[in-house]
Amino acid sequence: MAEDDPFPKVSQVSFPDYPAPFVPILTEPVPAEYFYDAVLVGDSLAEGFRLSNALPDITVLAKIGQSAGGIMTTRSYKLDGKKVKLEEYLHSLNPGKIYLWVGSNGIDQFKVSHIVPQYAKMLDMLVTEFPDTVIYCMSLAPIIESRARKQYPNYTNKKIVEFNKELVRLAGERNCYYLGVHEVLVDEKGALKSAFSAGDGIHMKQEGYQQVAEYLMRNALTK
Amino acid sequence: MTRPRILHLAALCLCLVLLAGCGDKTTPLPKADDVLAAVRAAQPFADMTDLPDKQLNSYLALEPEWCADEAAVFDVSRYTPEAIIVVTAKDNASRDKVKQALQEYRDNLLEEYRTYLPEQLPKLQQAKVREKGLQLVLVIAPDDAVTEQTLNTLWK
Repeated sequence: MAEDDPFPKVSQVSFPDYPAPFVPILTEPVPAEYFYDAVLVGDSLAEGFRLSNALPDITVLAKIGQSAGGIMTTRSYKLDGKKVKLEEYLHSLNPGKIYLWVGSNGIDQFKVSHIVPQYAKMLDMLVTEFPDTVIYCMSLAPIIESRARKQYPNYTNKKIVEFNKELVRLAGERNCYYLGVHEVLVDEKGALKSAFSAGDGIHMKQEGYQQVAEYLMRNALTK
Repeated sequence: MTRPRILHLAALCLCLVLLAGCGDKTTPLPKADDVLAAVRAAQPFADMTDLPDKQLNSYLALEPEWCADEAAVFDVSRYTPEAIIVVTAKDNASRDKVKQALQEYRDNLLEEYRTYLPEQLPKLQQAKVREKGLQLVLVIAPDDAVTEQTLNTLWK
């Protein structure tokens, strides 16, 4: 198990019928207004999600190559002409919901046990800074290993599943919520469905983002 | 007024209108959609997706009042930074602001892809914001020379 704080800070959001980390599956999708106060923070997948316009009402803070470690150490976001850290930018938006879709960058070079504590630190920071904001941790997407191998030889679906299991734990310990978008993107062999793959085996086409958007609309906490 | 005098006056007005037209040397700018279509057809791009004006403005931090006409497509996979963005500004001041936003967008991508996917850098390094009057175009493409040739033909 990865080493992180055994007594982490806990989000103060309260959904007594839906204890963290699992989110109810809704019979009807949430309306577009649900995402008016939502911010998606992520990497190239989040950037692609934004450009796909699959969920036009969500605010996206994306940076190509972003990681949990990068979020904690770098002023990645431009606000009023100056580079600021994520928390400063988020405070300017006062979000009701934060969706996190990071974790894949670095998974090729490092063990999952190295990446998870960085994610935990990021989550601790967000829970502290935004105690009353619902925080959703989105799972990593599967990949097509045979296509990704040339560029990322150690980026495997086994590591992705391992990371996602850790994400369930991290989210639950902090009263945050886990969204398993992995399940709508994966094929019967545990890889990214080829219909959703952009070609390199990692990035996604419009059709993949559409699946993710529909998942987010049907898996949500509502009062 | 007699009927022949009315006809003479009408003919004079028509001549003045025609002369005014001959004196106007400015060629109207092509529509943003047409520029985008021509650039896109000139070379193979990745799988490109349209971005509506409202989302484009939000994405590039453009104020809607700066823009008279817009069209954009992007490779949503972000495996490549390929994009075609065409904006016709409303006036000179707006054109300068749009130009700055497009340059910043290109510069940010350059910074991000430098470590992320360095093999994509040539597309960004050769991409530049081109302009004709109030029309601005940023194309991030496999072959920038083809883009330049296409725009030169369109903007003749």
